Amino acid sequence: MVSNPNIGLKPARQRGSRARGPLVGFGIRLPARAVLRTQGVRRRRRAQLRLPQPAELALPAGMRFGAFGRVYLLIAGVVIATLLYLVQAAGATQASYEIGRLQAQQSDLVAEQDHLKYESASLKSPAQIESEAAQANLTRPQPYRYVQYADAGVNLDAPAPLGPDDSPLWQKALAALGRTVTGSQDALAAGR
Amino acid sequence: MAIEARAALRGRTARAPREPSYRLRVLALLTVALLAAGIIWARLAYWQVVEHKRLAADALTQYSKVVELPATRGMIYDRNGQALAINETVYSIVIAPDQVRASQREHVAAALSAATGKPLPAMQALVSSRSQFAYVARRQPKEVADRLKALNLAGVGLEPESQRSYLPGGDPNTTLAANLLGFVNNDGAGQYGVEAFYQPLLAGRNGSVSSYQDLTGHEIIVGGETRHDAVNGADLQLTIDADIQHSAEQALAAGVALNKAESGSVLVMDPHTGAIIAWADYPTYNANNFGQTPVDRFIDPIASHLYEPGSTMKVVTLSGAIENHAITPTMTIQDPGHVSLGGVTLYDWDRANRGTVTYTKVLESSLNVGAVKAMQLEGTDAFYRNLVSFGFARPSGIDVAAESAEPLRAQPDYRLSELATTSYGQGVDVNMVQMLAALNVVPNAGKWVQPHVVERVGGRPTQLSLAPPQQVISPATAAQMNEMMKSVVQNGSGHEARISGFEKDEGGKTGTSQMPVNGQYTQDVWSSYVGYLPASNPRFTMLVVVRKPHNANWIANDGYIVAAPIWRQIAQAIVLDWHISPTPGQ
Repeated sequence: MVSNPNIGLKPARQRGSRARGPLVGFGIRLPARAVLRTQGVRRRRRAQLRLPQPAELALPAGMRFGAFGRVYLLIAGVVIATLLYLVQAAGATQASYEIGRLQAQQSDLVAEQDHLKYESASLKSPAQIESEAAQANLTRPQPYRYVQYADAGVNLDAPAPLGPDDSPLWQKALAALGRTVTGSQDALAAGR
Repeated sequence: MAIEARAALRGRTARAPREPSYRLRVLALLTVALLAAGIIWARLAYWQVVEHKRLAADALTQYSKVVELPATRGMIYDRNGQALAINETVYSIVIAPDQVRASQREHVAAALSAATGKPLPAMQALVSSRSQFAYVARRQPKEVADRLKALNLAGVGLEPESQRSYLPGGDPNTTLAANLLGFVNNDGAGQYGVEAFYQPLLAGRNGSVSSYQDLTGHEIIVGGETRHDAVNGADLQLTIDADIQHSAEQALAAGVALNKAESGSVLVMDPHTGAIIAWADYPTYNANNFGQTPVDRFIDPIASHLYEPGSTMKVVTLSGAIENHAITPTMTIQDPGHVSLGGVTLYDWDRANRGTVTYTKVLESSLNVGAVKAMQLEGTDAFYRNLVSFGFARPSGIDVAAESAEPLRAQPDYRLSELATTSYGQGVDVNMVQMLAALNVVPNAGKWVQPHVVERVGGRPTQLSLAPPQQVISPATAAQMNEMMKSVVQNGSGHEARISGFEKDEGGKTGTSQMPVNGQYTQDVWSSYVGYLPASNPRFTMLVVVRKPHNANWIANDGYIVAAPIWRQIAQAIVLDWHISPTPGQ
């Protein structure tokens, strides 16, 4: 148990100020320029004053690092970090070569596309079409001949004039009979 | 005392010789070490402090690499989306002869000769030259590059470059609309025509990427690269119709050859918008092979050459006179074949006394006396204002590089005789674009429209294509002039331009003007014809100018014999391509 709250803990108040809370009754004033001591210094001081030491984390002997062990650990960390960096850098470089190769391929394909565009435009050009037409013995048509129309003077709204009916007599009789029976005009008569 | 001192001294010398001081040795060694270290430090300081900037810069050039990202030049299309100018990748073949082993030289030279078609001895000499770098051939097509790639020749490399390619034209070994489009030189700069006028928009802006490279020069892309992307150029959509352009080039080439002329030009325009439909010159050139072309062929005669328009100017003169109520189509004048004013006598083309003639007859028979009298009736002030309003006081403003124009002088600077000759198109210099835009006022109901060849840039309409028309003469005046120009085709000098089916529905006017040399007019002429069709609702206006025809006699060089048949041939092609029908009742 830690009996002195000033040991191993951060000060709960400003140095040089009067204590508050549970320390009010003791009237303890922390020095204004107190030196923050390390854990080892504090431990030695407590031993000199015969104060009880705070509890320690006791590690098994096998798990404790010696002086060189820590150095080895540090070196190993640095080596691993370096290796990781190198692996990343190599991978990035390799990827950049791959990107470069793909970019070259892309520019080749763009060149191919441009070439095809030109071929396509050339094939559709008037000169090419004319050349192919000539090979196929095609010629330009003669210019149109337009005939000036003359007004026939036909009134399309006027009822159609009846022409002479030269159908046989028996047909006329039959039509008259039909009109009498049905009460309607036949199609032929309506069409004229 | 002195004896004691000497004895003491003797005693001291008598002792064993003293060993050199250990401290002295250390001091000496330290001094030497410090000197050596000082030299090294000094040298280090020299390289790392004094020379730091230079070495850092040298190192940077070795491992850093700034690659230009070229912007793709915009393509050029016609009004129907047919590509007219396309970017192609071509390859320059380079060689490092010092990297070709002696045993391989013969093989490399033979392969290069076979691939490029260059003579074998020249290739052998090049490969054996031991120089560090040389071009084998510039701007080779992809097929050649592919062949060389497959051979994987030692010391031979390919440098891709962009090249502008143009479609074949109406005449062999030419490209379509070469004078209009211009070309792009080896530095990527547009030269002449549309390519030069729209260079900033077509070219775009190059970008760059700075990155690192390894010892072998391979780029290490992943890293601290700085990238500025290129901004590609905008595509242009022209108002040109490639099919009609091709027909115009063919007809013009045939017409110029038939009339043994020096050159000729054709300009076709949409009468309502000012959009140029065809822009043909003969002779022209092959823009795909501009390096082998005489420089004077690059200059476009349509916009960059001035000419005296001759009798086509009478359309402008009579339009102004009708507009100012000075004349009417049926008004008569006396034409004895000559007229005197300002101290000079001016003649009709045949000097014949025609007696009483109407102004319609003046236009039909192209009578200079009638034009001069119209100018007199109208008054010189009104005539001058008329010239200004028809656009002769300024360049046409067409969007093609290097337009030439000779602005009108101030009116007081003109003598009366100068204005009189201007009334029938002599003594005044115009370019073809100005002239066609002025003549187009009649078929366009009296409105002057801005001529332009580019409709859209990057999909957006150009300012010129949106320019509002200007009413120059009233629609009533334009209608009267339209009837008079129809009469020229039906009854006058325009008979050679009649199109079957449109005989009563087309308007036109011939022009023949003498060329001045050293202040004297010569027998060489500009023969021209302007016409439009159908007259009742015009679809196109076309001006044909042929320079220096050399037919058997002077009359045979006239505009109606030389230029009108060319006009007719092109007009027939347009009627077919655009399915134009005559207006019923005309």
